[in-house]
Amino acid sequence: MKSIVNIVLLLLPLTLLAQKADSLKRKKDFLPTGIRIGTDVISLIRTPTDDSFDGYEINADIDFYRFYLAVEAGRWERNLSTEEELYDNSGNYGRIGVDVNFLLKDPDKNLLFFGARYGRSTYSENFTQFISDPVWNDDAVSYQNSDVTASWAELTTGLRVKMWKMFWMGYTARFKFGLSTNEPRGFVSYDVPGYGKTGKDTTWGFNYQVLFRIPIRKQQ
Amino acid sequence: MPYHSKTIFTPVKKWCWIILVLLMAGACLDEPDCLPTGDTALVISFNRLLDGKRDTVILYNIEAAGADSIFYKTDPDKLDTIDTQTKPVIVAVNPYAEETLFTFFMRVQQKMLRVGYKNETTFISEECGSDRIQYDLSVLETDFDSVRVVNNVLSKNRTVNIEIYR
Repeated sequence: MKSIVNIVLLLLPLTLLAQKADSLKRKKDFLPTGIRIGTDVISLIRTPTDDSFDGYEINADIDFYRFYLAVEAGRWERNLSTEEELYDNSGNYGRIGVDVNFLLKDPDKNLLFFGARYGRSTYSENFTQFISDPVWNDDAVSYQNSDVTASWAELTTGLRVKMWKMFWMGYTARFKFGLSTNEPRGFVSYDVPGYGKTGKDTTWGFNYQVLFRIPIRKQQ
Repeated sequence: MPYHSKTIFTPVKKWCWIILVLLMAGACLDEPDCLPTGDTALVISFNRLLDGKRDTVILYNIEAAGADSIFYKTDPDKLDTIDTQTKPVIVAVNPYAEETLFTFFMRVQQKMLRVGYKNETTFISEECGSDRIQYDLSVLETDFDSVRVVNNVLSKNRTVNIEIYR
């Protein structure tokens, strides 16, 4: 039920704008007009301020009429500890997908988009648990998952707004689902770089991006 | 028809804020369930080979190899009876190993039961800690007449895992 609600939330921009976008008739020009490259500001802020996180993400897209080929790559490391557990992971991830723009008639090429991604991550993680057992005494158990590969899918929505000349800002909200990991049984992967916590079948992600758009040619 | 950027952006802006707030609320509901289910308790019932009904067994104690504790230690002079007819016997498997050997000291004899299992740990969250389950329970060795694994996952529900027939 929650998944259905999540999908409906992501589809809302479509229902709002589809009518207006469809009513606009313009010549379809599928040749790209510019490449946009940026980074996730949330990761940049978290890295120096959050002791448990270290990471970055690069975003890029290129337009083909109302469709945008989006490519994202990043890295993150996490270090978590409780009174009885120590956890750390590190890995690289990438995503590829398409966004569909619903602000076709905007002269600045601002975007309100809905899209999809395929994500893939390779990572390693370590976990140590201190067990307190009245029968078998206290001891520590350690696990290591090395070179684990994970893949998942995302539905995305968000905005890209031209701020000044080539400088753009925007956000991407991600509904992530269909996670598949290949770690051996023993310790279940806790946090997948690029995806997040694995405790539920679906999860949310959010990026706030600053971008630069490099024009290739003028739109006809 | 002339194009007016503001006419599109005004409702878009409003709805973008609404979507953003809803997404944030959705993210809050995304926390994992804080319900560890794992338990090292191995639940054993004694049954009659003849009709399968629960049996009454006189146990002095049950020992686990490698553990200091002794389960169900009773005074040998009193010959206390554990009412295995209404309550199953609960012992703890070694969480640091993948097998545990139990010795049952009964009235006139002693019997052994060596069980195997696998361990799996899930780190639920920093707030909830972790959950450790034992699964794939099997009987590796025993000198009881007949032993059957009826539930191969040890859990907090404490349902019977092994039935011993005498």
